[in-house]
Amino acid sequence: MLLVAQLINGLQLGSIYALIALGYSMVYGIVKLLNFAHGDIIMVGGYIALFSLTFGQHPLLAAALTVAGCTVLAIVIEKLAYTPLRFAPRLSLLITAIGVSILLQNLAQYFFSASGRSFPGHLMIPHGSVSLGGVMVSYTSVITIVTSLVSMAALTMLVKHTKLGKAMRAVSEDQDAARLMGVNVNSVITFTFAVGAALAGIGALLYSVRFPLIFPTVGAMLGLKAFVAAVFGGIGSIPGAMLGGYAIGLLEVLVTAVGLSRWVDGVVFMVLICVLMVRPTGIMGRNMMEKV
Amino acid sequence: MGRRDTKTPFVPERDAYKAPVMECVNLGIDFGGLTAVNDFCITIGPTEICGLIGPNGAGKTTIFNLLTKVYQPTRGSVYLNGVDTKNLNSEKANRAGLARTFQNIRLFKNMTVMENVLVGLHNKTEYGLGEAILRMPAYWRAEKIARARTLELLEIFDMQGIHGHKAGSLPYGSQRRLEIVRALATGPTVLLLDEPAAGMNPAETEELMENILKINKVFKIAIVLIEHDMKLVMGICEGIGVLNYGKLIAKGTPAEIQKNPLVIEAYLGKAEGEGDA
Repeated sequence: MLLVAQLINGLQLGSIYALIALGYSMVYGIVKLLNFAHGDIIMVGGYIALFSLTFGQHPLLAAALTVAGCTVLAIVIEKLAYTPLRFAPRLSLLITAIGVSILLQNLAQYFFSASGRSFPGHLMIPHGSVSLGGVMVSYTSVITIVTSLVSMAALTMLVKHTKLGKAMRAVSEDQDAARLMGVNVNSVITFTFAVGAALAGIGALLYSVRFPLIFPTVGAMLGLKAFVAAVFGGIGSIPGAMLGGYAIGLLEVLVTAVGLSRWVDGVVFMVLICVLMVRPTGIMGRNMMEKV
Repeated sequence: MGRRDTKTPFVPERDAYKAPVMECVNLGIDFGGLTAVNDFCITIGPTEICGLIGPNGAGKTTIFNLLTKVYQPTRGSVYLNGVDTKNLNSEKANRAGLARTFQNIRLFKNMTVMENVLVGLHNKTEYGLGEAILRMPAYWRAEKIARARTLELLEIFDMQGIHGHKAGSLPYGSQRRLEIVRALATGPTVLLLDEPAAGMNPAETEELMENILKINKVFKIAIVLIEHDMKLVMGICEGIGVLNYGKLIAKGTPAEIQKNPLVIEAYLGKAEGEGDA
C-alpha cells in the first residue's frame, strides 16, 4: 500500500516535470535553443495564480489567467529577445536565454520582494482525498495526474494530426525546406513557444498547489529538473520529454522514500551525467550523426 | 530599365511569350568578390519545359536559389506572373507560385510520405486553430480533402500505396519522386526541378521523362529543370539554356544547342554522340 501511495506521489510530481519538460523539448526541437527562461515563466505563472486567487477569483478563471499570462509572456520574450537572433550563432541565443531568466527573477524580486509568499492551494484544489482500491489519494494528486495526461493527449493530437503540428515537425527537421514549401516559419516558431508556455502555465498551477510557496527563484530549480527530464528522455522528442518527466518524478520520490531526501537533487543530476555518458541523445533522442 | 532589349525568349515564335510566367532580367549575385551568376536573362512561357545545363559549378543551383529567394540577388530582377519578386522571401515566393526540389534531397525524413505532401499542402488546407482543437466539422472536412488530394498527387508516380512509409526509408529514386509531389502540392505555376534524374537508372529516367511531360500537361505549369542527363534534357525540353562560369553562353531549342560550337566546347564536347534525341 505504501508503495502504491509513493507511486502515485511520484506520478504526480512526474506529471508536473513532464509538462514543463515538453516546453524545453519542443523549443529545442524547433530552434535548437535551450530556453533557460522557461523555468522563470513558471515562476511568473505562479505569481499570476497567487494574485488572482488572493483577489478572490474563481479557480478556473485564475487557471485561465495563468495559462494566458504565461503564453503571452513567452510570445513577448520570443519576439523581443529571440527573433532578432534567428540567424545569430546558437551560443548568443543561449546566453540571451540565461539573461532573460536572470531579468525575470530580478524583476520578480523588485516587484514582489525576495521573500516567499504562501500559495492558497486549497482555493485552487480543495483538500481531501478519495479512496482508490484502499489507497487514499488526495484530490491534488488525482487532478494533477489527470490534467497533465489530458494536456499531453491534446498536444499529441495537435502535433500528429493538425496542419500546424505537421508544420512544426517539418520546421524542426528542415527549416529552409519548410520555408520553401510555403510554411510561415516565424509564426510556427512563435506558436511552438506559445504551446510550450501554455503547458508551463498548467505546470505552474499544479506545482504551486503541491509546493505552496512562491518566491522569485522558484522556477530555477524546477526548470533545471525539467531540463534534466527533457535531456533524459531525449531533447527534441515529445514522447521523450513525457517519459523523462515521469522517470525523474518517480526517481525523486523513490530516493525520498528510502530516506535519502537530502540527496534528491544530487541523484537527479547524477542520473543526467550517467545518461549523457552512456547515451548522449537521451532515451528517445534522434540520432545526431549527420550534425557532426 | 531596358527590359525590352534583354527579353530574348528561348523559342521566340511561341504564343506563350505574350504573357511569360517567369522572367529574369540581368540577374546576378556576388559572393564576396566572386561573381557566381552574372547577366542571367530568360523568359519562360506558362506551359514551357526548359532545361538549364552546364558543367559542375556553373551556377545552375545558384540560379534556383536566387529564384526561390534563398539568396537575394545582387543585381537584376525576377518577375513572376508579371510581378517583381524583389520584396518576397522564400515562403512568399512559394505562395506566389514557385516550387522546387533539391539537388541533395531534403525531405522531412522522419515524417511519412503522406505527411510530407501534407506539409506541401499547408497553405491549401484551410481551417483555424480553434477548429482543430475542438475537432469541429470544418477541421475534419479540410483534413479529409487534404488527404484525398495527397493520394491523388501520389498517384502521378504510383506512390499512393506507400503513403504510410517514412520518407527517409524510401529508396533514392522514390525520394526524388516524392520531392516532386511535395513541390506540386504547393500549387506552383513554375516548378523548378534540381537534377530530378540524379541516381536513377535508364529505365527510371525514361519513366521520369514521361511523368514530367504528364505533370506539364495535366497541371498546365511551366517546368524548369537542371539536369546532366542529356537524353532527358534533349528529349523533353522545348528550350535549353547553357551556363558556364555563371554566364548564359547559349540558349535555344535542343537542336540549336547541339550545333552551337560554344556549347560543344564548354560542355557537350566531352560527350559527343550522346546528344542525338
